[in-house]
Amino acid sequence: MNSKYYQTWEEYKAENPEITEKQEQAMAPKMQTYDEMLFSFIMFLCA
Amino acid sequence: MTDMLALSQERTQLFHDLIDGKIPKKVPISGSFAHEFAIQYAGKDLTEAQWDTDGLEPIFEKTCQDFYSDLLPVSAFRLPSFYKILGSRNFVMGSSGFIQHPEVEGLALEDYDAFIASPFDCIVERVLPKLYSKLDTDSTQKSMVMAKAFKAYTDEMGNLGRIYGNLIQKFGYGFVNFYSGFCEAPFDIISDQLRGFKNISIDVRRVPDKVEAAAEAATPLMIKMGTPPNPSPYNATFIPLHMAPYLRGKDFERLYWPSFKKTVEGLKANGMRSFLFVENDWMRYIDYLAELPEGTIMLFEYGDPKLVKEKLGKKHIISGFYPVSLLKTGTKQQCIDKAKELIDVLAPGGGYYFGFDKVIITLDSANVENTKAVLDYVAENANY
Repeated sequence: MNSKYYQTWEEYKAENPEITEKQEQAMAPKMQTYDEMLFSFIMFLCA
Repeated sequence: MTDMLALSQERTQLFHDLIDGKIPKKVPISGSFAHEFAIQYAGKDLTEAQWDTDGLEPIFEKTCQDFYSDLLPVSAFRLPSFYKILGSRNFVMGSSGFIQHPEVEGLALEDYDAFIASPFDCIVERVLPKLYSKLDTDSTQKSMVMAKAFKAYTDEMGNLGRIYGNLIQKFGYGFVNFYSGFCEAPFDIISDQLRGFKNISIDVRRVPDKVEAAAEAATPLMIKMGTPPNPSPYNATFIPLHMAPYLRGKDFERLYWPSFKKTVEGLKANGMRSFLFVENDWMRYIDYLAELPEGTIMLFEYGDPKLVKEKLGKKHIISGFYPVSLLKTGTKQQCIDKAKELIDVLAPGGGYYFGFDKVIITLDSANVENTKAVLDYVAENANY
């Protein structure tokens, strides 16, 4: 989804190249979950 | 194994058989009561109980104790805390404590192009500030309000999830969730709170190209919205259908159906079946419904059960049709006879579970004794 207000992990990582592989393994699922939760909340608000 | 765990497994199996196209041991039952009903039935104050979601468990428990169902029969969907924080115009608690949905316009006519170009950005930038007065402010205030509302929302949903889990265990309900995801038909999301019923009725005549493009643009958003993190073939994404019965056939065919069909197919491709609340009377569109992916769950409000069984019964899973209005006005015997009549038509060959034609939303929507009698009758007699 192309949006200023939603970011995939890949997009986040491209903006933050300093993230190591080890950090990525720990961070990625959690970071993506928050984007998904906020997306769901915003959609719920107009549904 | 505890008795409740064994009961839960038995009920889960009923729904697994239903979904797998096998004839279950008996007709599965899904009782459906809104949280407002449960609060009133427990004798509690609607306003207070909806603000105190920590305390909803014993309230829901009373409905679970008194009304037969094979799946958890109570659910809550809209709660006041986050709507109040946001200054909601689209969901407002009335003096009775019931949350009402006034007619709103979240998307201005001149914003169609922005929506078509990027629906999610348009929702964040233009729609939310129109629907929620506390978001119609500077960006710092807006982010503070949004943070509070999101915290309230996740707290409420967390409480509900915990309560649902406890009640499923306590009453041995089946582990099947037809509300595992939620989205709308693309035309409906544009209609309901973006343009509003009145505006969309004008738009389909004056700017049909914009409506068509907006529905198309909303489709990927609806597929994403309706896909939960862990799709399961035994769960479903709930899609309440609204506007189709109010459209002319040619408008339905052009503006409603293509994007809706793509949404259901997209969900299927993502591993989710759709659970459609086929609101109002869709009989003139019944052949369209037959085109949807096999195993789509359809709960009908009105229409001809015989025609639905004949045209959809071999492909889809059918429920509904039982008139809640009869539970309010009929005698106990009339209510039981109606259940018999529907089971005789819809149950043969499987692909059917018993459900009312709509959720029972308030205590005065139905006669409680009739409701209990019907659920008990089906539970005791609808064996294969």
